Amino acid sequence: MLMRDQDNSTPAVPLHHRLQFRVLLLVLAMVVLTVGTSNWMLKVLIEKQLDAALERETVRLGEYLAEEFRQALMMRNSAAIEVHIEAAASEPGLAFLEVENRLGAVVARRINNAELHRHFEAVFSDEAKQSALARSRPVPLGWKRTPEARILRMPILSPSRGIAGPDLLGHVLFVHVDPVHRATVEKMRALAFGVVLVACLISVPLTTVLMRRLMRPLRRILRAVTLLASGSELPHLPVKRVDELGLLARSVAETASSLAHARADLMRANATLERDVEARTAELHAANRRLEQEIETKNEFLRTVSHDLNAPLRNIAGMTTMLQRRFGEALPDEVRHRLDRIAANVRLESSMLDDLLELSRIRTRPGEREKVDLGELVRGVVGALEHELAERSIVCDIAAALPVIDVERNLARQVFLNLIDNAAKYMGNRPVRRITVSHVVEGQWLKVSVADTGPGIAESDRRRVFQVFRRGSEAGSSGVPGRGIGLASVKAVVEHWGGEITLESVVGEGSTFTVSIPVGRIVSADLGPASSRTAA
Amino acid sequence: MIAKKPESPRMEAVIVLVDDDPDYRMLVRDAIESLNLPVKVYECVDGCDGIRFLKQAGAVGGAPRLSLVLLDLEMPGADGLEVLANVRADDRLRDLPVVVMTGVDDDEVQRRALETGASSYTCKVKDTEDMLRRIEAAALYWTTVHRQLSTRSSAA
Repeated sequence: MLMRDQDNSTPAVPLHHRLQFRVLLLVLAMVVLTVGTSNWMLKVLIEKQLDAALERETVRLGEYLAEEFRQALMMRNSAAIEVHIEAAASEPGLAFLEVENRLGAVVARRINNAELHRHFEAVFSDEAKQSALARSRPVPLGWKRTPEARILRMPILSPSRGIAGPDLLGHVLFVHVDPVHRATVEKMRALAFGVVLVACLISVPLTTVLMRRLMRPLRRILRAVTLLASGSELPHLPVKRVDELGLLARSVAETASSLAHARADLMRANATLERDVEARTAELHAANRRLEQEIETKNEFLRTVSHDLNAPLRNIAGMTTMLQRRFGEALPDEVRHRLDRIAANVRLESSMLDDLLELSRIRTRPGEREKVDLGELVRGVVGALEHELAERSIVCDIAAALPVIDVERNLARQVFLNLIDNAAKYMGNRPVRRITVSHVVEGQWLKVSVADTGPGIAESDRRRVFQVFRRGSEAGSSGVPGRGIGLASVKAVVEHWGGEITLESVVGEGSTFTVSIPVGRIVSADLGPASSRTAA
Repeated sequence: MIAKKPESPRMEAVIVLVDDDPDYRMLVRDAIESLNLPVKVYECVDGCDGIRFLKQAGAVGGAPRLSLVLLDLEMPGADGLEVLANVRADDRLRDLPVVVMTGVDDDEVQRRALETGASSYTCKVKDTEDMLRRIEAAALYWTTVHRQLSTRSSAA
């Protein structure tokens, strides 16, 4: 009966939850209930009418029978009674008949229906006869197979004679059955059942058809809504309907079209964005390439210059040495002294060129990256500088848990050697002579600091110290040997690592150089933030 | 002591100096001459000159008998490695000791030079005394080795 869902695209709903099934059940229940109830009420009414008619007829029959037997009982003529009984027995619907005399004894009996009589004998005792049947009204015999059977015990009275009232002559007791009554009731019952059945048979297909007419567009709308999300082609929607379904369909169609517009807009925007990103990326790549080329060219230039500048210097030095070797003793002191000065100047120039070469190498050939235990490295550097540090009575505090980082070992060594060496060199004659190496992780940066208690660096010098061959104005006159390459190379290395070096300083209190490296460089660390500084 | 021994011209060692820097050539010549070895120094002014001279000397065979090449790397035209490759490709020059002397202190360059067939790699270091000593040592070592080898081969 129930129409199965033809299209599989709508999500399956369990049978007992389907709208169509539920409505069908509801309609069936309603039909059965209303038709059944009305039929039952009709039946009750008609049965009541039939019962009343039967009872009336029974009473009439009783009165007729009493009339029949009165004369015979008055005469006490048993032969007449027999004759009357014979006549009465032919009365239709009479199951059995008893005639009692004044004392209640049966004087005549006629049985048409033995079954009913046996039932009567079993159910009605003499007392019952007296009490239940005493009121001369028809009583149901109470046998299921003949519910319409009525029993009546009618007194037979003599004609009235004066004030004393009529004399009781006896009773006529009979059971009256109306076969038409029973047939009518049964017919009605069948009719009622038939009507219910027909109502059901009509309502089921009717409901199904009606529901299908409602459900089909609803399903289509449902499928359309399901498809909305995927953005695929929508099925035809019943937008022309004037009912609520039409309204729903129209609003779904509108939503779909505005969604499609939005999607198209989004895709266009996306495409534009992608093109833009591609263009920008290409530009960036080009710029990057240019920059890399420039850096490479610059480094190449630096390398070549350093090398080519070295060759004549080497020759000058060689010639000078050769002159001194060959003619040393023969030369006047003045000439020898000048030759020494030439050699010294050449050495200075040459070492400056070496530094330039070194600086250019940081970028062009940095070496292999490996896991470098910073603590170990710094302790190694301090060990190498032990003599100088001891000579100047400088105390070194190195944090216990410096991390392990992924860098080029030679460059890392260069950084910390320069920083610590610088701090030691410029310490001067300070009352407290201490160098502290510690680290801290701040956001994206691992910050390793080398702090000293030296004289500090004047504000105006703070940027100069990182430039090649520039030293702080104090440094030049303080008699500290140095060429001013150290911090420049430290800066180059740290920038090569993708970090930066910063300087904080208070004149008269000390300076702190902080190397910031991206945290991604940390390989492992016992990073107890609180324990990162052991030196107070 | 070897130097003091009277030598026949045939036994005189020949050192070929290939370098485009005339001043440096002068220095090397001075350094070698200061050793008082029985050697003759030939100078080639660049790589092409070096290749030409070495091929010619190799073809002549006997005299002048080559015992050592001091080779600069960075030269215009044919560079040191090219000269070296030519020497090693020539049957008559294959066993000739070639000492590369260069201002380039670079592991990569050194590796390539040794791969191409350099007998040793010497840097033109800053310290001139040191540099001169290195030149002298190289000259002394290789000429001695060469002389002993050739003595042995001529005896056999």
